[in-house]
Amino acid sequence: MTAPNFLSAALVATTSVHPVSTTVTYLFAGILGLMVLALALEEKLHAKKSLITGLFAVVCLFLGTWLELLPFDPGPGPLEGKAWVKNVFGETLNLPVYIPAIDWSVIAIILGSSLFVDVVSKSGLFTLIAIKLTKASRGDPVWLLTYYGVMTVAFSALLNNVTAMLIVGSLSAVSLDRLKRSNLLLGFLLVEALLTNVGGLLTLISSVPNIIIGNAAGILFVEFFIKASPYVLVATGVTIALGAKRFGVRRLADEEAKEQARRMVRGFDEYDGIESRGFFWTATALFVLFIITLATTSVLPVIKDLDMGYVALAFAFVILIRYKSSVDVYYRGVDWDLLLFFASLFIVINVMEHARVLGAIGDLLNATVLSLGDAAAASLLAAAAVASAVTDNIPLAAMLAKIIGGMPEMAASVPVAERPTELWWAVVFGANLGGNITPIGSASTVVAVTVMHKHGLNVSFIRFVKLAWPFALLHIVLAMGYVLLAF
Amino acid sequence: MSKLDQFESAFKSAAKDVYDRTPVTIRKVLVVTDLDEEATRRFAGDVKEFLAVVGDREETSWKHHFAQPDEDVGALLDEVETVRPDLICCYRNLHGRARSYPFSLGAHVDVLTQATSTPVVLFPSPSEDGRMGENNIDTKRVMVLTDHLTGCDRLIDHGVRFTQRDGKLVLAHLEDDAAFERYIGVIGRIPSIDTEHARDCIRQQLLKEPSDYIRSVRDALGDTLGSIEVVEEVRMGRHVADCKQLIDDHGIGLLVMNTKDDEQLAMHGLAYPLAVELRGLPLLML
Repeated sequence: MTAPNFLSAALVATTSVHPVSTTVTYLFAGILGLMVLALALEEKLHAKKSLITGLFAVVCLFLGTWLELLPFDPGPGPLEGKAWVKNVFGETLNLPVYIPAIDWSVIAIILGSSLFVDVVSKSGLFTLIAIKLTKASRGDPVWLLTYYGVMTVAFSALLNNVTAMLIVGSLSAVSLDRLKRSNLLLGFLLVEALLTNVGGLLTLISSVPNIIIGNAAGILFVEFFIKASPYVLVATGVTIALGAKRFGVRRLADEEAKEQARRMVRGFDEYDGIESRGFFWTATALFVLFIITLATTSVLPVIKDLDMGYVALAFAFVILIRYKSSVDVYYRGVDWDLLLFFASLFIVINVMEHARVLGAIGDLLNATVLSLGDAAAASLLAAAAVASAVTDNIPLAAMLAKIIGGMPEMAASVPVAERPTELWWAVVFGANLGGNITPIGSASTVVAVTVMHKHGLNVSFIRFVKLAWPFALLHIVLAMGYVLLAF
Repeated sequence: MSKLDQFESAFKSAAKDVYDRTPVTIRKVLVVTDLDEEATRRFAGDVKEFLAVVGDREETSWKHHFAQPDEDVGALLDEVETVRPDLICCYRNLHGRARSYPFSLGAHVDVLTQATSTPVVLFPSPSEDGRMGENNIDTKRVMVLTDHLTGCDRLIDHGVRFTQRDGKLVLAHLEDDAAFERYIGVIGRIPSIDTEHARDCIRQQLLKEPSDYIRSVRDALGDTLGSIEVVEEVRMGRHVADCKQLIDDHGIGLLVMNTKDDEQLAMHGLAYPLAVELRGLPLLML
């Protein structure tokens, strides 16, 4: 991250810089509000996120160009009326105006790691770990909840919260059914869903808001882990203990029940999903190497210039050698909706920046939340949590990253050590933990509700909120205290 | 296919039925015939010799029931209720007048196998003086045969109990080929499903489950198995001919089958045609 990025550090064509009228800013603020509303009502609209943001990007680009907000060369000269960027070699590249608006580093990390994790999961590594822990619990519900909770946090941290919820949620359904304890499934799924967002705080690659904020703030992988882990440790323990109490998860009382439970979990075969021992060990080694490389990206020669997106893509392509003749199957499995959602979202945010909408929101934040002195970070955290509870936390993180990054205290002229970090962390904690308040707050809670419905547990929006709010409140209060004390 | 479904399938596949052994104890055997007392004694002697394995692990008492030719089936059931045996030994077409017509087992045997929970060893019809066929020597080679082996602990328990210590226990699962082909035929008419992929995956999974179960049998028996060799026979098949082939290939002396079906009064699917066809082979019918 120390070397200048090929494009992002380059000069960009400047527009004729018309002063932006307040009316135009309000117009675009209205468009942004509509997009956020549409994303919040995604399920009701039966429309995918990428389509919603894509349509808004189309409208924003058209209006931004028409109202002369976007950076086209004013001329005169050969590039008159065109968008261009100048790279570090001084070469001028003619690019569509929306291409430099996209944070390609974030896209590369998400694309690379989702491909890599998808192929590693085919090796049977994650199912082996999950089943080993199931057997280690000996079928005792309290140990099962504890192991599954810890596993959810670990998988969320190292993979992503959606994959973690898919693995642990489906395992919970199968194992509790086998143990004839399906009555505990709701409690297990809820605790796991809440822990995906706690675990999502642990590393820089655990969730998209982390990647966005980490990129914008220049937080390194190891630094992120060290600062987030004390909170994650405490929040995990408290959530599991509270979950066990709230949902009546108790130890097995008599020997007969214990023996029966032991017999039931003994039937799980942890090696069932391993088709090839060779590939299993290769995938395991690559996975460990992947984590180590990500953790050390900032200090590895050459790699540090290429960044984490390169690492993720490189590992994805290396592991795809195993399926060299059928890689298209994995390409089809990529969440293109998510990637196109990011790309178009970045374009919308970029237009909003040119329309001074972000500046206006920043001014508003400065006048309200950020003017609270020592309580500013805690207030921002709470506001971010509430906002991400009802809408997607990704646009929120992307927008706040731009706003905070644009603050005078964060200017390039201020030495890195002197820049305040608590606001970045407030956004990280708020954006992640807000997802625990409602079933639509994060992608992993949506997955949890899908598993619940699949197994006949009809959990409505209100019921989810009723069940989750004590946990979510506790997480947010703990995080506010932690941000106040630790940063 | 959603990723949720993928992971759930992976865990369901990993959650296997594991054999849990319950030792079978045989303390009382009831030998039922429609012969006179002397012939019955001879038949019972041959039975006892054939089932030598029954008496080698615990003290077993043998009781003979030699009935009048016209004894009705109710009286026989009353006798079973009184004696409460752990095992009944009889032969096909008991009290039947159609012994020379090889198309049924006879009403007495039908009722005996379905109305009582006691296992029945069905022998080939003896000669008039009560002698058993020369081919029926011992239970050195026993086969458990079913179209659904997974989870059938009771079948395995009995297979193990009736196999001589140095013998061979063949655990055979014959997956219904006709039903399989019928479903693949239907899948072949659905454009969104890759037929060949479906054929391979379904076939593989159908055969994997009994194989995994047999592995758990080996694991569970371990040292308690002694010198019994457990042989796996898991394959696709459809006709009685396939079963006969398996039996011939392994030189089986006793066939163990499940005859009870919770959903019907009549004998379980594959069991009846097999029992009718395999007239020369002793069958242990559970």
